[in-house]
Amino acid sequence: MDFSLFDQLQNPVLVLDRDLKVSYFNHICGTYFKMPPRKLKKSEKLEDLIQTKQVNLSALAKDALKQGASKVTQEIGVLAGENEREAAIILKFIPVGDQNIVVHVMDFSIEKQLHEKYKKQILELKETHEQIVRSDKLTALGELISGISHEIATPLTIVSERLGRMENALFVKDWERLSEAVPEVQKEFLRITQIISGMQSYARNQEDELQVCNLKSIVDESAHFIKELNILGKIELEIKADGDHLAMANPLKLQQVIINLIKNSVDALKEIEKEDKKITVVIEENDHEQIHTLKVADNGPGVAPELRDSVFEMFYTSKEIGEGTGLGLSISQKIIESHNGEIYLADSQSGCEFVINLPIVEVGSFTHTNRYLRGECEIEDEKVLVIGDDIPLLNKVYQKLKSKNKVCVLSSKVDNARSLADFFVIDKAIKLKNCDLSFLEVEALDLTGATEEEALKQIEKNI
Amino acid sequence: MSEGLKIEVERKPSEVEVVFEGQIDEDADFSSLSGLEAQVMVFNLEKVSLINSCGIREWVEFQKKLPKETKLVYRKCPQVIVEQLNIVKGFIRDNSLIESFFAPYYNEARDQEVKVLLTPSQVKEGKAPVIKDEDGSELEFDEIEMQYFSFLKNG
Repeated sequence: MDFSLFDQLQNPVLVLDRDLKVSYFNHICGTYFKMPPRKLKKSEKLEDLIQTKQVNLSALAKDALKQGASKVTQEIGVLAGENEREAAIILKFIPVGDQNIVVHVMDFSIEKQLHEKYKKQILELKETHEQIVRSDKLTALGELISGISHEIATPLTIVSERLGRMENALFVKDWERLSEAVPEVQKEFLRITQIISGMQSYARNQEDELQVCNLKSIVDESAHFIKELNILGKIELEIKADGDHLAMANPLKLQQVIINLIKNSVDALKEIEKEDKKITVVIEENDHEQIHTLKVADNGPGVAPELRDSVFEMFYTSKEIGEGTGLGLSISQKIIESHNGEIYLADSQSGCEFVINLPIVEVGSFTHTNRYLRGECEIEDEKVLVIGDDIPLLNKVYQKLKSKNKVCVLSSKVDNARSLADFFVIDKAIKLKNCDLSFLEVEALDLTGATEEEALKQIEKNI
Repeated sequence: MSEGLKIEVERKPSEVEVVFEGQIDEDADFSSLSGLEAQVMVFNLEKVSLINSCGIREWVEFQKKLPKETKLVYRKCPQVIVEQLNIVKGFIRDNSLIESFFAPYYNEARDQEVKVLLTPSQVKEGKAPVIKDEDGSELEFDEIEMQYFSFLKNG
């Protein structure tokens, strides 16, 4: 049989006879194996050219010949040619009649090397990004400490003054003055305790944990922090939010974003002369799109049209050198994206308005738990709907179900749960509050009124 | 990361010689040559040790960006380049010149592989020229002539 047609191919092709001896090789074999034809001709068997411990090449060739059917290897690591060059290849054994086997070599070494190289580079980029985020947090922490020192000094001064008064009252046995001073001292100590508690929550290493949060509380805490920094001056900070807005979020990271946006507004407003300087934070729920919308707006100078596209770019800053890192908005964007949300600069008539869209808790809990979506498991897990309105308990149940590899859909509202049940097939349900879940057509584990311990025990037993 | 590609430019009265050394792969950076103008540009490829499929793409793209009126000359093409010349269309630019290239020979008496620098004119009718060692022994051409010299026919 004439195999010279294989010389037209750009992949190495060898032909073995029925004793598995190399009887022909196409022209590219010389280039591929880095061997002149003089040496190639001396190669008696395939293993002289391709060495591997992953698969028995001769056995595979024999099988192909015996069964009269092609055999293909998986991607295997081999040592190719005389200089034993490492390569990643796929071999195909094609029987030709009962006398010959054509061996086709597909080399994926370059693809594999590139894949590994770029994977490593992406990991390095991610690490660099993490470092930048950490560095930004340290800057924020520095500002926090400076603000906190100031905040603690004030109540301590008051406590010191009140203790002096108490000492005098004790000396003259003025019990009325003494009893008046005690609650004032307690109040100041409570204030210090709250500040320290805030610091502890900041320092806790739970940054990547997502939990059920009330966005209203996060915005309130951010506003409180801004006020503690004493940077507002005459700027009015208004929060507009009706009711609770539950989302799956990392409260500290979200606070970092909101504080950053408010501080940017403060900086912009401080640059202009104006009477009624104002920053407004609004939280709304968009039932149709199943998102919460959080807007941070100010009546400052706004962003120049030519700069609008650059605001989220890393190291972009409109501030003076040394005053801004240019990382805040870029980091904020990454944080919001990690919450499956979006952040953008709205096209407002005056001032500046940043809009953040975050999925409602029902969508957030599903996507954050769904390992299938992240490609970590191939089989879709059982989906459990949990309905309740006690945020700490919801979080405990969420963690419990997550630890049991369940895909969790948390909900505080029956209406939201009902519309989500149209999208996801709910396998099980847990009720933590009185409500009608008959639309689910699955039996609900009723834990209404159960204590946290009882609820978790029941879940452990039944789910 | 690969060992990289070094590029050096030498301006001579009649030509600009660009000397390449190392691997031409996905990291090959030809940007230092952008804007380089010459009537005759000679690519000295003697020290190119490897070229892979990503490198070929970079190489072809790089040549496309060079001024069309510049005459390209390929000097001292090693075997790895000749192999690409034989299989990749567009590896060298149209109307360019292969000035010299290496060909593999084998000295049987000494069991020694040698690379001999040839010019296209030495290859007559697709046959490798006779090369002898210092002792006058004839060397054996260590490739398949029809395949190794096929780039000369294409040119």
